[in-house]
Amino acid sequence: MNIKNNLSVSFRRLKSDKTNTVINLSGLILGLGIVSVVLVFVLNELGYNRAFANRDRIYRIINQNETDNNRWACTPLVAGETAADKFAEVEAYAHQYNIQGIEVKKGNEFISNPDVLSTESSFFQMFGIKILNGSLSEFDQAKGKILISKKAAEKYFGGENPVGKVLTLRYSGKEYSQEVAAVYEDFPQNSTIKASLIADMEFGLENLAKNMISTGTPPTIQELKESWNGIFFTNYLLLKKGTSLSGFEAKLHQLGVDQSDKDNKLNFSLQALTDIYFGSEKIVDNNRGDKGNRSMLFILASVGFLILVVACINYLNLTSAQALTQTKALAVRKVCGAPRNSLIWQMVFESVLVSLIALPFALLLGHFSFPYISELLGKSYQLSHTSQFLSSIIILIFITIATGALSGFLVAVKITSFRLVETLKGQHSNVGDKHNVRKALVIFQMAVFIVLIAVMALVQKQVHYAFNKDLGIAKEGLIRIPLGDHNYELYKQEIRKNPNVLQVSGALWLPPHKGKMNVTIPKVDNPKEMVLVKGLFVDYQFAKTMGMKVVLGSDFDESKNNSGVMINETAIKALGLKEIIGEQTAFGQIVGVVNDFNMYSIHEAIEPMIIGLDPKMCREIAVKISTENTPETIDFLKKTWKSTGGIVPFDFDFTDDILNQIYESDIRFSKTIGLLAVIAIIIASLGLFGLSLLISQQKTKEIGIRKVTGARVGEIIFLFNRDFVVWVAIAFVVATPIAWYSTNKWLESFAYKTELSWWIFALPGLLALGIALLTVSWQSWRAATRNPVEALRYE
Amino acid sequence: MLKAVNLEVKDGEFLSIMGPSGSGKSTLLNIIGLLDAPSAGEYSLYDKSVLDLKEKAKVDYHRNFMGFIFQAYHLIEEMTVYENIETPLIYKGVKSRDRQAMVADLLDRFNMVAKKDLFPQQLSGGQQQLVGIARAIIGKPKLLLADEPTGNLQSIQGEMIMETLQQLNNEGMTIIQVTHNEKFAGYGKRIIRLEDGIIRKDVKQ
Repeated sequence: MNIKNNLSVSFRRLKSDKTNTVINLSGLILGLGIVSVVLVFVLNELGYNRAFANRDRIYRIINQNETDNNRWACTPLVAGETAADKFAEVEAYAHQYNIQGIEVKKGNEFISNPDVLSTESSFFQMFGIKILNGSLSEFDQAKGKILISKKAAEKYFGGENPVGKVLTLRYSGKEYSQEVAAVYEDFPQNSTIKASLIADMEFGLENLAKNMISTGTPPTIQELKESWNGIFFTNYLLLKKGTSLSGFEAKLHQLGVDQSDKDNKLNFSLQALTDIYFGSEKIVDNNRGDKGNRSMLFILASVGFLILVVACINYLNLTSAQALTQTKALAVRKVCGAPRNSLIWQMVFESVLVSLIALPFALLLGHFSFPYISELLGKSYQLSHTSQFLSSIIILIFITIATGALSGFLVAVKITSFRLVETLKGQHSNVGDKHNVRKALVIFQMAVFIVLIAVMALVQKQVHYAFNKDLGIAKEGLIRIPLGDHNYELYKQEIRKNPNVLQVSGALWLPPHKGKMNVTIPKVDNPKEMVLVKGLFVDYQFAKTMGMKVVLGSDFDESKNNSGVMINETAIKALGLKEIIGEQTAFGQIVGVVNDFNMYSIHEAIEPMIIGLDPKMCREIAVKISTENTPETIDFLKKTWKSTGGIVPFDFDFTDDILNQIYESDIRFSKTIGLLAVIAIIIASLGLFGLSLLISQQKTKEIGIRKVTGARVGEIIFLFNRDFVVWVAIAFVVATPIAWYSTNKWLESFAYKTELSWWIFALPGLLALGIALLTVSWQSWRAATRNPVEALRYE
Repeated sequence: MLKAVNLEVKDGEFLSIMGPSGSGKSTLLNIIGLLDAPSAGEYSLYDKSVLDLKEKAKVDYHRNFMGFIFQAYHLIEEMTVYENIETPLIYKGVKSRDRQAMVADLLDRFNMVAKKDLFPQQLSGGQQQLVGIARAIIGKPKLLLADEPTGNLQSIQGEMIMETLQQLNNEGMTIIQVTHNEKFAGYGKRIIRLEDGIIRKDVKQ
């Protein structure tokens, strides 16, 4: 075998048939490019929390709450230290408490800094987060120190050394000057624990004490530290090497049992750090980090895999069709004494060569499309040189070579098996021959496209439905304004003066929202039974402003000065109410019932809800304005905001803007699927184009003869397209049930679904047909309009 | 389709097989050349039966014993004249330097040295066939099989080819050719007429 000889002959062959080579390469580049992106993404997702040191020995304590039947990731503060004291298996422990609503002073203004947590210094050793500058000594002694990430250091201090300098924090209107004790390295992108600022436990406890929503007197910091009744801290335990997990878990469980009393039953278990990202679907967590969606990842990986298969199939198809033009040359080589193996090897070599040519372009494509796709999927991954990145490159190289080798091998085995004499006569050079495998492969590609488009259409329809469904509130003219630390009562008073402002109210969260408050309260008819309800705090006139119907009783009304709680319709049954109005719940007397409304996304069914009256708890202002003069009214609201002392710029949203945020991931999902569908069809079209080009080249003589014997251009085109139309029809029949099943499955995550109309499935079929016809017709039209004399001349 | 053929060819013969279309001349040649197999009967080369040979053995014969020339030349389009001629040597495992020498010799003999880097498309029909012959004989086969070697050529070019074949035969190569052309058949020393799958005439000249 002469490698140099092979190489130069292969290159010459590829160059002489440029069009086909480019088509073949393009499909492969596109496919491999997408696969590279999906690979990096999937590996990043699977690698969540795996960048931490000691990751295999870190667990967090989970409590199975007996009263509401939920598993909670937040457990009493004291659990961690007690476990560490009592059990030798615990090498170290650390807490996590996420602090909300922190603003940091930069220059002369305060900007929001969302990712802040408080923990102990043991955290850094445990998780392997390096200290780049400064020291952790005295951090735990609550001396008003703060730790900042490398990014935060750059943000607030530029290039200067921040250690020893002061960072001013603010929450709930009060400022805190913290001294920067150290700078730590940025958390890995793929972790469920992330923070740009880390405060000490005292700071966190103080913040908690101030902000706790409780139904009695708020606890003191000391009580928070010692109580076995707590749902705010995440306890992480680092277990010694070789600890038996089940053995230790039993001990921990016993600890919980020992500390339980009749009002507080503790049922402890452990969750591995590496399980948190995907395994926390049903876990309630007040220190929530990124939550992975296993099914979405699976879908992404499957679609990525599908694209790969489509691209490889394409490559195989085109290679095999092109190879038929080579059969004669191979037969000649056989006559010159070539053993079949060397011919097979030659073809494999050439095929791998082509696929390797595609590789660098695919990597380039992947590199440039990565940020766009990452954003589409809702993650801000960056292409950094992590081990995951290197793994994906290696995997990609392997896939490329495997594709080339496998295609080359399969094709070579087939065409070197042809009978020598027939081949020399030219009998095995015809691409247009009935080749069942090729047919099946084209059908498969088309089917993939149809399924993807159907899913995308359905997702779009569902999103559209989500936006237009009756949410139980009146969306028209309803504006929401985040309150911040503005003077609520003053602002309310001033804007009411404008006749275009019809109603004003407020709430902790205005529906639809993401914020959730879970409370378990006793049923009214059977206080021994507990029921999980959602909670909300609102201002007077809430129902009226939101356009909700008051089904029974009345709204909170300033003029009537009624207080108590309102409930939604679902709560009537859940709480076991009979007379309803006037009945006493754990939070107060019921004054009114509003119609069921979608507080959250329509993924969730409506649950029983208790609405309490507390204007001071409102964080969002709801303003109903008249539909006339909207721009002027909004201008007025903005001016009044400033004139009533607004430091933060005026910000407002209509309900549809909020819906965009709530359904962000679904919208993104539909865009992603759409993108993948487009890629699939481009690859498939390239394949069809290449095939039809080859066939038309081969059928030149036949077409010439047909024309000379009187066929019209239209008839020739029809002849050409007929086969392809049949293939698309078969693909449609195969794809539709799969599309139906997939769309149904996706809809299952919604409590409120749109209808699966027939056109969702018909549309992609027609689209596929149209694209196939377009691709093929162009070739056939070119072939059909060529001068027959030309075609017949080179016989 | 061959019906009943009894044929014996001695070392060093120059045999021309003639006959109308469909008489089975090419089939006979293919069988002799181990490119095809008879449905019944025997075939021996040097008293060794070569029916039902395994692939490996056939390859052996093709490499070391036989050379083929075709009406359509069947040169590999993507290779130069030089590369086309050297192809059989590569499969024989001949080293690069030896190959160079052997190919140079043949190019010289056929006056094609100047054309060694050209591609088949750049040559005339006659020249292409010469390359075909060079390729067929470079491995020094004992038997040369030619299927209508002058079929695609004009008279003058055809004559040149036949003269070349004659020379080779004088040097000791056994040649069996299939041809339509009476005149070119006459270059051979023995002419066989095939009709409807049976040998009708067998004439030594």
